Order: sequence, then C-alpha cells, then structure tokens
Amino acid sequence: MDALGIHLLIFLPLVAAVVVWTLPPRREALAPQVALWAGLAVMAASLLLWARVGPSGLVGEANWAWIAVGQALDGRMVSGVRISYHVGVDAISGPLLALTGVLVPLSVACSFASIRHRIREYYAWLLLLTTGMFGVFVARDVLLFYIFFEFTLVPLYFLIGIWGGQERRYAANKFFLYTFAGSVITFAGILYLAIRAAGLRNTALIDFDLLALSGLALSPVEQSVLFIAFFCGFAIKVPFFPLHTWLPLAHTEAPTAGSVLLAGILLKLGTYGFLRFSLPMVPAGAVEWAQAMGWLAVAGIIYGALCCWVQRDVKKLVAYSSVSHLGFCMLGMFSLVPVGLSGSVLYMVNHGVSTGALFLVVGMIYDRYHTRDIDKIGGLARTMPILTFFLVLFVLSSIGLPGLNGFVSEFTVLLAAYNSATLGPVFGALGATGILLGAIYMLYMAGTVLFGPVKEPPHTPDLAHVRTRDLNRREIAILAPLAALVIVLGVYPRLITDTLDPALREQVLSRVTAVAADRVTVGSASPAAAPRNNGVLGGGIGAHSMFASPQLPQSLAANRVSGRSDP
Amino acid sequence: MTSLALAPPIPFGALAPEILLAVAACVVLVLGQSRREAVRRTVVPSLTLAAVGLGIVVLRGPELLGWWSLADSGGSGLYYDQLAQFVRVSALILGFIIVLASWHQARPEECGEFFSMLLLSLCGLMLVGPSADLVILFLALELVSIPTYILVVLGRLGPRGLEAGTKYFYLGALAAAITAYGFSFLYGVAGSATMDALAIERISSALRNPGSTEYALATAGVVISLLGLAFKIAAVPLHLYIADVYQGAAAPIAGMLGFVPKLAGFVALMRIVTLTEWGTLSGGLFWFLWVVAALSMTVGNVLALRQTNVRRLLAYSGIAHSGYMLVGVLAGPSAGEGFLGDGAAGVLYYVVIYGLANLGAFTLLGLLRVEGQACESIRDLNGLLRRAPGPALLLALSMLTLMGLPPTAGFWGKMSLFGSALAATSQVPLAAHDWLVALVVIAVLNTAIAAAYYLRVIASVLLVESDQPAEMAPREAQYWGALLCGFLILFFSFYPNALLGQGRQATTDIRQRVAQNDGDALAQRETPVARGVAGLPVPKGE
Repeated sequence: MDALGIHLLIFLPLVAAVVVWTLPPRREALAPQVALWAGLAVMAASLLLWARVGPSGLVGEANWAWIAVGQALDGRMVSGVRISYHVGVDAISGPLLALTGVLVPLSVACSFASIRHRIREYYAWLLLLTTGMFGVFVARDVLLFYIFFEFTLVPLYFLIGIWGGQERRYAANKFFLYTFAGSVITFAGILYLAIRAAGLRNTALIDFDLLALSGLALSPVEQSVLFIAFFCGFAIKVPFFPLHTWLPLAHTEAPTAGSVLLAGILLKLGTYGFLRFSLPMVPAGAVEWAQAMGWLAVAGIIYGALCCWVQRDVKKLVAYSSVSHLGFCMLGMFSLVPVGLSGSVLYMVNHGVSTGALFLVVGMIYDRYHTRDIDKIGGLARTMPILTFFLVLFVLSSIGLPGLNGFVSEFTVLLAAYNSATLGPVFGALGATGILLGAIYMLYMAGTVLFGPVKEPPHTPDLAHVRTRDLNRREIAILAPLAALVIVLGVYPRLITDTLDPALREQVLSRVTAVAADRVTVGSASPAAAPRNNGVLGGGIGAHSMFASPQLPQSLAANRVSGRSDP
Repeated sequence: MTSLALAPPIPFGALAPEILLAVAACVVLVLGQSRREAVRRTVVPSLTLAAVGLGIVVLRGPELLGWWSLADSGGSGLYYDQLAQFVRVSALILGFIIVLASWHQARPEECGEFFSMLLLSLCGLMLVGPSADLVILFLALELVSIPTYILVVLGRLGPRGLEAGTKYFYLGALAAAITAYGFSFLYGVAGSATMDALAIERISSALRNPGSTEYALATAGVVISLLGLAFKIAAVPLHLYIADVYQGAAAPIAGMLGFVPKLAGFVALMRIVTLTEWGTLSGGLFWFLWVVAALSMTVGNVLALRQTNVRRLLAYSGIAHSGYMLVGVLAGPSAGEGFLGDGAAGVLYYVVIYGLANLGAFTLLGLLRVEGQACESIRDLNGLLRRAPGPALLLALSMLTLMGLPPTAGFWGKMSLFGSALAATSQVPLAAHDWLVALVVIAVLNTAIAAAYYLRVIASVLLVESDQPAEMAPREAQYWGALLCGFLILFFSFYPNALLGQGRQATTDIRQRVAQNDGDALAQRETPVARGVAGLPVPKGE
C-alpha cells in the first residue's frame, strides 16, 4: 500500500503531464485544473507517507531490477551490473518529501493568473519537474537518484527559458550548464565508487544500491578525492559560495512557480545529496574537508547577506538570501554533531517554507505592479493589509524570530557550529553575523515596500487578472498553509525531529563518528562517555531541546568538552 | 581457430546476405537507367528496402529456425564469431532505416547509382565484421569507403558538394594507404596475414620485449594501422574532412557517415588491438590511444562550440564522440564484470546509439525548409515546436541523447565507456593508472562542454519563438525513418539491457582470446579476480 503511494508520487505527475500536454487546444482551460488535482493528490500521498515514517526502516519499499546485464543463478544475479528501481522513504527523506508535496500544488495554483501563453506546455513541464523531485527523494539506488537529479534540469530549463523574464534564455542556459558540468563529475565519482565497491566486497556484481555503497573500507585518499567529486555536483546545486552565480539569475528570471520550487526543493537536492551520499559513503573525506566546507559556508552566509543588502530588486534579494541561508544549512551539516545535522535538515524544510512563501508573495506583488523594484513600490500596508500580514510573517520567519520556524534551525545550527570539534567558536561567531545582516536587509526591504507613503508605478495596480487590489481568495488559500507551517514548525519542531534524530544518528553519524574517533588522538574524554551524552549535542532537538531543558547552561558546558573529544 | 588458411571454404549460406545485397545493388543500378521515372523513383528504393529487409531474414532466419548456425565457424579469411553477427545485424537494421531516411533524397536520374552505392557500402560493412585476415579486412574497409566517396557528391553538384567529395576522396585514399602500410608491418611480424591465434601470439610476444626490433616493428604496425583507421572513425589527426563532408553531403548521407564507416572503423580497430595484449595495454599503444582519445574529445568539442551551422556542429561533435569511444577501446573488453567492465561492448553499444541519434538529427535537418531553403544555421530552427511539434521533439531527443543526459540511451553508453575505463584502472600498470582516471575526468568534462552546444540547438528548437519557423517537406518515408530512430532511442533509453546485453555477448570471443593471451603473459604474475571470471566460458544462448 505504501509502495503504491510512492509509485503514485513518481508516475502520477508523469501521466498527468502527458495528459495535459496532449489536451486539444479548445480544452486548454482544463490544463491548470488537471495539474492542480494531480498536485493535490501527490500532496496527500506524500503527507500520508511521511506520517507513516518511523525512526528507522523504510516505508513503502519496492525493489525491482531495472537494468541488469550479466549472469543470473537461480534468479539471483551473480555477476554483471545491476541498477534497480529501488524506492522507499525514511525519516531523512520524509520531511523533504512532504515539503515537496506541499509546495507542488501551491506552485501550480500560483501560476493560474500569471501564465497566459503556452499554457498546456507549462503545466506539463511543471508536472514533469514534480516527478523528478519526488524521484530524487525516494530513490534508494544511487544511479536512480542521479538520473532523477539530472532529470530535474530539463523541465526547469524550459520553465525558466520559456516563461521567464527578460534575460530568461541566458539564465536558463547558465543554470543548465553550471549544474550539468558539476554533476558529470559526481557521476564519475559514483561510477568509481560502485566499481570499487564490487572489488572491495569481492563480488563480481556491480550494484548501485545505497546500502551496498555505504560503509566501504576505502582508503583516505580515495575518500578525499571522491568527496571532491561529489562536492562538484552537490555544491553547485546548494549553491556553495563561489559557485552560486547561476542562482540569483535563475531565481530572478524564473516564473514564480519556478522560483518557489527552485528555492524550496531543488536547492535541497544538493544538501540532501551531501547528507545522504557524501557523509555516509565517504565519511573520512567528509571529516577531512569539513573545515573547508565550514569556511565556504561562512563565506556564503556573509557574502550572500551583504549582496542582499544592496539589492534593489525584491526577487533578487530573496534569491541572494538563499545563498546566505543555505550557508547556514551546510554549516550545521559539517559541524558533524547530531544537533547540527538535524538542525541542518530542519533548515532545509524551514528555508523551503519561508523562502518559497516569500517568492510567492513577491510574485503576487509583481502580478499587480509589474515591477519588483524596491524604490518604485511603497506603502503597501495601506492598500494591501492582508498581503502585508503575510509578508511580515514570512520575513520574520526568515530572519529567525523566536517562536517561528526559522529560529529553531538557525539557533541549533549555530550552536552546533560553535560546539563542533571540526569547526569551532569562530565559525559560530562568524555565522551569527549572518543573522544580524539578515535582520538588516529583510527588515529594510519590508520597511520600504510596506510602510511609508503609498508609492505605485504609473498605470498600476493592473487588476486585469487578479481582480482585487489586495490578495484574493485563491492567493490567501495559497499562503495560508505556509503561514500555518511557519508557526507549527516554530512551536513544535519535534514533529520532524522525533523521527529524524535517531535516523540521522543511525545512518549518518555512526559512520562519521567512527572515522572521527580514529582521527582524534585518544585523550581527555573516554569514548564510553558518548552514549551517556544526552544533552543538546547528543540528543538533538527532540526531548532534550533547549525549550524543554532547564539545565541548558550545564549541558552546553558539558558538551563543549565532549563535543571536542569524542565525535 | 588454429589455422584459418587450412580451413575449408565457408558454405554459401554464410555469405548469402552479402551476396543478396551485392546482387540487389547490380539490379538497382540497371533499373536506375530505366526511361520511366516511376520505376526510378519508386521501384528502385522499394527494391533496396526489400533487399535489406530480406537480408535480415536470410541472416537471422536459418539460425532462428535451427537449420544451421554460423557461430564460431569460418574459413577463407572470414570467421563468424559473435562480434561478426553483431556487426551484420546492426548494419542491416540501421541500413533499413538509412534507406527509409534517404527515400526521396536522390535526384530521379541518379536513383540507381545512389541506392546501389548504399547497398554496396552496407555490404562492405557486413564483411568487415567477420574479417579474420588483414587482406580481407582491408578489402572490406575499402568496400565500405569507396561507395561513400560517390554518395557524398551524388546530387550535390554545387561547389560545396564537390569540395566535400574531393576532400573526402583524397584523405580517404591517404588513410587507406596508411592502413595498408601498417598492415604490412603486422604481416611482417606475424608471418601471415591471417589474424589467428598464432599471429596474436607472435605480435604480443614481440610487444613484450621492449628494445627488440620486433617490438619496434609490431608497435609501428599497430600504431600506423590505427592511425589509418582514425580516418574511418573521424578521430584526430585524420578528422579534418569531417565538417566539410557533413555540410556538403546530402543530409541522410551525412547521417549514414556517422554510422557505417564508424562501426567499420571501430570493429577493424578492435580486431587490430586484439592482436596485442588488449587486457593490459601498455607502452606506445596505450599512449597513442590515450592521446588520440583526449585530443579527439577536446578538439571536437571546442570546434563544435564555435559553430553556428548545425551540420558542422554535429560533424565536429562526431569527432568528440569517437574520442569517448576510444576511452572504451582503451579500457579493453575484460576490465571487469558486465557492461561496466567491458569497454568493447560499450563501444559497440555507443556506435549504434550515436548512429541512430546522428541519423535521426540529420534526416530531420534534411527535411526542414526555411523559405524553400534547407535548414543550415541554428537560427533556422527557431520556433520549430510551434510549426511541427513532432520533428521538434524528435530533434530535441536526438540532441539530449548525444549530450548523454540521463536516462537517455546516450547516457548508458557514456556510463558503459567511462565505467569500464575506471574498472580497467586495476589492470593497467601502475604508472598508467592515474592517467586512465585522468582520461575519464577529461571525458566527463568534455561531456559538460558538449552540453553547451547541444543545448543551443535545443533552445532554438523548443524555447525561441519565430515568425517564420521552418517547415517540414512532405516526405513521408523519410519522416518515418526519423521516427524509427526516435523510437529505437526511446526504447534503448528505458530498456538498454537489450542492446547492452547484445554488445556484451558480441565481445565474448574477443574476451576469451584476450584472457587466454593475457593468461599466457601473466602466468607468473598474480591473477586478479575479474580476469579469472572473464576467462570462464560463457554459456551459449545466454
């Protein structure tokens, strides 16, 4: 039954895409509806799947041989190459799957008013993109993952290139080439890993299954090189600081739905790739490069924030804020402590919700005023009170106001970086300046656009397609679920972390800490202290989080010591 | 096969498909002189198509019905191993599509010559497969090439067509001479023109003693032969003709040139390399192939990047694709398990997929018209999706396949080629290990460069809107050829097992021979696991 849900996630959008594309021209008006219903169906399926996810194990696992060339003995392959359609959801991919499910119908709905030419094609590409995104998160076969990972490029390329802004073609090409160039190197790494795995396991069967490729006894040099190979593909997608230049352009030129999915989901393919592949498969490489990753992340945080400060284009500002925010996400991940990893996954979800929502709001402003220039719009609070409410809420969530979702992840990530054995207080302190800068640029933007004297470009607002001056009912229905998520995830992050923490510890951290333990000279703390360590660092954000823990100072202090010695 | 020279003459049945094609070529040539245009325009192509179709029946029928099996039999310089069967079957299947794709291509008065040359070239390709003798191999290669010199100029009497024809002919003749020169060295070292076990042993034992005269002669023989073959596969340094020829020739012929000479060249190349210790390439041969592969990829892609003419772009990218395939040759057939350890199988797979994608793209280009003129520049393709969605999507599919985007058929090909090279790193001498990895890195980087220009074509077809998009010429048969290409590409995208398995099976004999040969050489050294498995006899009919 669960497996059926997963097949539905992959194949329903695919079928719907074909249906939408082949609609006769006079039935064009049906296209958005078909897409919306398909989106709602996958939303339901993905939420149900996530609800069934437990701390360990796979939900809805299905494993079919897809490409198998070689010799079989008694129905089992003994030699050759096997690539399987192996899918399933666990606690790490579950939250991201649910996030995708939530954002897809919203991005379909937000296109109703703004997409007015080549309508059938548009929704077909959007649905194909949905297939690709779900495929990435459910794949349990590394090559299947890679195929979906690459496949997402094609629909997004067309979404940006056909329905984008002025420089859409340049943006689409740059986006495609950047990502493709990085990921072919990742591909070479995957191939090498699979072939080496067969050699190390002394079998004649080259298997791309995730488990078969994890926990191999590779030499440190190999791990280090493979980490860089993976880095090439994933870091461009994240994007890490010096490789981010495709992102502001692609975001700014993409149609609203494209920006929402790009920021909400597709950037997470990179972070998810690091978490799912780089860390468990080449842990020694990850430990080796962790500090470099930390520096890049911090550079991204500060550089992205400074870029935001000087933007005059609201959409570009939100785009650059993604560079900064994803820096936080990577900082948490490469702290290589439990709380940092789960904070990092939380950050992925929270960033998807709040930045996706910001892009939606910006799109709604653009539908009315046909400009995104901060200097040309002002005083929207008087004319559009509902929009103002939502924008302020999402801006505060993005800044990290306590009580809203952004705070939880930002705080835990910085805490982890500060206490990490691989990073350290310097990284925590530098990262924290990002919060400060974030507050400056976000509040500055909100202040200029929302408050002050009313300022509107001539001949606007254009109400031909949206009809009402303030948000209409459709638009409120789009933003309301995200607003609810912002508050729910801010108040009760355990919704995600209860299952996430044990899964991360079992699948990712156990491997990384084993390596780190080898590297750190035996000294101050005994290794046996690690399991007892149930403070902030050991216990994640769950039952022992800073909200529930009255003895926060002691546990912090205790973990400073253990965090430096035992991971 | 110990001594082919003493083997009995092969039965008539073995050569039946080739004889059928040759006879059909003569009949078609005569019919082409008919005074009635209907005969020339309709009967001639139909007859050609029927001959190729019947060829498939004659080739596969008796074996499927169990009348006789050619497997591992031979004589008179021909030897029917699995590779030969692969070449003959794929030549006929692709040949069928090529005939469809060039249905209305020839001018009415040239129909006879056009289709008869096409048949002869296919016939030559089918003979390259089973060639087990240097002389036969040379003759078969020339039978592939000489008709193509004529095909390139047929119906293209403008200065461009003549330039293409002249260039192609002179360079081709030069390359043939180089190949023959190399073959003569091999003959000298082996003591016979037959490529049997004895020749393999003599040549590889000569290659095992650096410094000796035999070593120099054998290395020179192999390297010079491969240099001549570089013309057939359009690899650096004999790539100079390709852009002019692809631009000057009729579109389906340019498509055909991407498959027929390439397959012939790569099969001949494999036959030559099999004479050495292919499993553990080293020394001059390794470096020669390494440099040619790296240069072909890089030069082809960099030149293609600067093109605005689609045909020239595809031509230069053809050089790069040969470079990718040479990576597979370098990896060898017995690097490891499955198609990820068999560079030779990867090459066979890739040649077919590249041939299909290239043929499909060129056929469509030949059918598209902008204001009555054939489509030449990328800009001419603008806005095609609006006017002709089917051809536009087919063209995009071809480009994505050539780009190697997963999960298209081209991706599986690249995976097989590069994967085998990585698998082979455990076999080559330590000094070459890092260089092989470096070659794979160069190859994947080139894949990324190639994406840039393929993307330009895709963008102009699908993204850009135009007031005057290209139109399809109303030529049903040729469009069917392109559709067939598209269908096969899609089929092999989601079910690559079929073709990859065939390729893997085709290299069975080569693998055994290589394993046997290396086994002799490596008897003293410790044997890697993979080689032991690869040397096992593979059950028939797997």
